[in-house]
Amino acid sequence: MALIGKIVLFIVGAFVFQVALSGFSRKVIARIQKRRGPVFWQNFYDIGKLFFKKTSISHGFIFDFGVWMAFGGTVATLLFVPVGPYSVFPGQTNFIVIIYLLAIGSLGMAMSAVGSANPFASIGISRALTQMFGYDVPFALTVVIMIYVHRTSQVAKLAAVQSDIGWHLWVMPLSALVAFIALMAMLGKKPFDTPIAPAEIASGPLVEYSGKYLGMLMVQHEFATFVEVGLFVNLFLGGGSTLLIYLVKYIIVYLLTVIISALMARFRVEQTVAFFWKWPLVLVFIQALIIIGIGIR
Amino acid sequence: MSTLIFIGLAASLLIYAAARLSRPLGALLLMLLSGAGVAALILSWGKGFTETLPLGNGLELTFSLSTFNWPFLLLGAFVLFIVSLFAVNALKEMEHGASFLALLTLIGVSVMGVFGAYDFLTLFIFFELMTWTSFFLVSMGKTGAKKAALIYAFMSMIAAYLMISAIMMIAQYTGSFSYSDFMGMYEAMPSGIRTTVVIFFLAAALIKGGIYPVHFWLRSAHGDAPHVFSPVLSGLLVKYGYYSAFLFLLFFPVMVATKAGITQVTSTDGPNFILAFIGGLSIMAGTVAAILQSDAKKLVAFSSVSHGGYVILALAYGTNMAVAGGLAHIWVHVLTALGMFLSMGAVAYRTGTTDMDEMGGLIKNMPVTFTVYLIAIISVAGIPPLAGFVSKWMIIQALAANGSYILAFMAFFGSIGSFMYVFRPLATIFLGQRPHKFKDVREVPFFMQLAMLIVTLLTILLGIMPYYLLKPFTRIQEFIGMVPVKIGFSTVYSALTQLDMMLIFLVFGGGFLLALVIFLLFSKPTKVEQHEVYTSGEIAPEISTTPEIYHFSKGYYRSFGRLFSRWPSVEAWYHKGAAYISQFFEIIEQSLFKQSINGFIWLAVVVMAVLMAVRWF
Repeated sequence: MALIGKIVLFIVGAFVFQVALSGFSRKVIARIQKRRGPVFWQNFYDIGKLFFKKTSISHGFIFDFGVWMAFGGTVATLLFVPVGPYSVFPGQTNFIVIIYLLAIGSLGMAMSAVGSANPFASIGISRALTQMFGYDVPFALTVVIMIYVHRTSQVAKLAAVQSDIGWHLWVMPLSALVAFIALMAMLGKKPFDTPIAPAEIASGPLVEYSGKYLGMLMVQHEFATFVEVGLFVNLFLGGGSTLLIYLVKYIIVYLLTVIISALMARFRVEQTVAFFWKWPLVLVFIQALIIIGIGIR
Repeated sequence: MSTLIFIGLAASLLIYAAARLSRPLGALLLMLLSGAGVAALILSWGKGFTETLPLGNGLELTFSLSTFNWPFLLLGAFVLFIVSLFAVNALKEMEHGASFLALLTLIGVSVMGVFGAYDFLTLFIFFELMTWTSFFLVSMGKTGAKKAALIYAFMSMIAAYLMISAIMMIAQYTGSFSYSDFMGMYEAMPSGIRTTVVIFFLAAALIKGGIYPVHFWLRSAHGDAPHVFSPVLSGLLVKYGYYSAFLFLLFFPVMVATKAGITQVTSTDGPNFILAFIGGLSIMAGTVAAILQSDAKKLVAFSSVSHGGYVILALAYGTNMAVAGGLAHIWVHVLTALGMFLSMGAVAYRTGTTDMDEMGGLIKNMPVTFTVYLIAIISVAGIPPLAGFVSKWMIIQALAANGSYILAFMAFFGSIGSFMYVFRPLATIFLGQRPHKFKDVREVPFFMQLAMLIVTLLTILLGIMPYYLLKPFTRIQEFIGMVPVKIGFSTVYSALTQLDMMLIFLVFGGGFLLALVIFLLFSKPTKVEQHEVYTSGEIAPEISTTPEIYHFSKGYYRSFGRLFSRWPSVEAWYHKGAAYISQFFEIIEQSLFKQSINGFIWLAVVVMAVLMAVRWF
C-alpha cells in the first residue's frame, strides 16, 4: 500500500512540478525575446483543454497503441529515477535500465507517429533516431567512467557518493560538459531540434496528433524531461540530500538549457551526429584518460 | 548419438520421398523429428555420455553430450523445429522443395556432428557436411543466389583449409584428434605451434561466424538465400563459427588457467584483447552497414554481423560476467534472428519482395507478422523487459566493471545504432502509406504464424525469467571451472548492481495500463483513411498522398549515409583485389588455354611431374 502511495506521489509530483516549470520556461523565453509570455500555469490549461476536446483523430490501432506504449514506458522509467533522497524501488535505480527503458517510450512514440502515414512524421522520426545515435554514445560513456570509478551502476549510489568527493561537475568537468550538451539534444532543445523543426517539417512526429493523443504525448514529454534532467542532476550535481535542494538544482539546470536554446539556431541532422562524434566523444576519452591517470581526487 | 546420425541420414531420404508426394508432409516429418530432438534434449538435462563410432583403419569418430554442448545442441534442434514448422506452408511454391527439405535434414545431422563432436576430425567432417549442404540450399534462392552461393563456398573453403591445417598440426603433435588429449598437452606444446593452431582455428571460426572483416559473404548469402533458409543461416549456421571460437578461445585457455588456480581470465592478455577489438569493430561496421541497407534481408544480415561481434567481444573479454553474457547472447540472437528473418520471409511470401522502399502500411494486412517483428526488434535493440536486454546488460556490466572504455564505446555504439536499423523495416514495411498494389495482401497461413509466435513467446518469457536463459550457461561456467554468475529466478547480480527483470516488466505493464485507462476515460476518436493527413496546406503532387506516390521513406537514413560517403569500404577493397587477381589469371588463361588443347596437356604434365617428385623424394 505504501508502495502504491509512493508511486502515485511520484507520478503526480513529477507532473505538477515539471508542467509548472515548463510553463514558467515559456515565460523566460518570452522575456528573452522581449515578449510578455503566458502565465506559468498555461501548460496545465493546454493539457486539460486537449484531454477534454470532443474530437480527436485516430489513424488506426498502431497509432493508439504506440501512444500507450510511449506513455507507459516513460511512466515506468520515471519510477526508477531517484528524486533527492527518495526512490520508489531502492536498490533498483540501475543506470542502464533507465536509459534503455526510456527508449521504449521513444520507440512507442516513433511507431505511433510513423503509423499515422504522414510524410512529415516519418522524416521527423528518422531524424530523431539519427540524432539519438549521435548523443547517446558519448553520454553513456560519461556514465561508464563513473560506474568504473565508483564500482556501482546504481544512480542513487552514484549521487550519494558525491557528498564525499565533491560534485562530478568539478571532479569530471569534461564529462559534465559533454553530458550537458547531450542533455540539450535529449530534450530536443535548439540547436538540436531537427526532429521537431516546426517551420520546416510541421513539428515532425507530432504533426498528426490532436485532442487527447496530443495531451498524452505532452504529458509523456514532460515525464521524459523529468527523467533526463533528473539523471543529470543525480549524476553530476550530487542529487539532493533533501527534496528542496534537488528541485532547486533541477530548476537551474532546466532553465539553463532553456536559455541557451533560446539563443541558438538549428543544426542539420548529420551535422548533429558529426558534432557529437567529434568533440564530445574526444572530450569523453580525454576525461577517461585523466581519470585513469590521476584517479579520482 | 551415432545411431541418431544414421537415423538422420535415412530420414533425409525418407523426407525427400515424402516431400515428393506432398511438401507439407515432408516438412511435418522434419518438424516431428527435430521436435523429438528438442524434447529429448530437454529431458536429458544434466545427463551426459561419450561414445565412439569406429571407421576402420584406426580412425574413429567420437561424440559426446555434456553440459558444455547441451545448449548448442538444443539450439540446433530448436531452429530446425521452428523453420520446418514455418516450411509446412512456406515451401508450396518453391522450385526444389523436396530436395530443400532433404538437405535441411542433413543440416540437422551436421548439427549433431559439429556440436556433439568430441574430437577434431568429427568436428571437421560435419563442418564440411554443413558447408556443402548449405551451398546447395543457398543457391536455391532468388536471382543473385548462384553467385552468393559461390562466394559462400569460397569463403567456407578458406575456412576449411585453415581448420584442417590447424587440426593436422594438432594431430601431428598429440598423435590423436581427441579434445582431451589436446587439452592435456596444450601447455606442453611449443608456443609457436600453439599460436599457429589457435590463430588458424580462430580465423576459420571468424569466417564461419561472419565477423568483420571477413563478413561479406553474409550479405549476399543471407540476402539472396531462399526465405525459408535465411533463418537457418543466421540462426544456426553462423553459430557453428561462434561455437568453434568458444571452444578454442575459451575452453582451452580457461582449462589452462583454472589448472593454475585462476578463476577469471581477463582481456589484459594481449591476444584476447585483439580479438575483443575485432569483435568490437564487427559491431560498429555491422551497425553502420545495416543502417544503410535498403533490402530488408540484407539489413538483418548485417545485424547478424553486429551481433556476432558482441558474442566474440564478450567471449574474448573473458570475465565470468562477459562469458555468461556472450553465451546468452548466442541464444538471444537465435531468437531474434529467427523472429526477424521469419517475419521478413512471411512478408516476402505474400508480397514477393524484400525491398523496403517498395512496401508500406502492411500492418493492416499482416498484424501477426508485425507483432512478431516488433517483439524481435525490441529484443534486438536490447530494450527491457525482453531477452535481448539481459545479455547486453551483462556484457556492458562486464566492460564497465573493468573500465574498458573503448570496448564499452563499441558496445554502446552497436546498441544505440541498432535502434536505427531495426526501426527502418518497421517504418517502411509495416507502417506508413500502403501502396495500392498491396491492398489485398493476406496474413500468412496458420503454420507460419505458429512458428513465428513460438519464437515471440520465448523471447518474452526468457526476458522476464532470465533464470531459464542463463542457467545452462552458468552450468557451463561451473563445468569449466569458472566462477558462475549469480542468478535468481528473475534477477541477475553483477559486481556493480542487480537487475530484476520481473520488476521491470511489472512496472512497465502498470504504466501501460495507466496509459490505457487515461486513454479510455476521454472521448472516442474518429477513425480516418490513410490519405487524410496534414500536408501543411500543400497540394503539390510530391507532398499529397496519391495512390501512386505513396512512399515517403525511400532512402530513410540518407542524411546519415552522407556522413560515411567518403569512408573506405572493406568490400570495395576485396572487389579491387578480386579484379587484379582475375586480370592476372586472365594472362595465364590467354597464354595457356585459349589457343589450343596443348595448354591443358602442358599443365597436366607439370602437375604430374610435381606430384611424382613430391611422392618420390
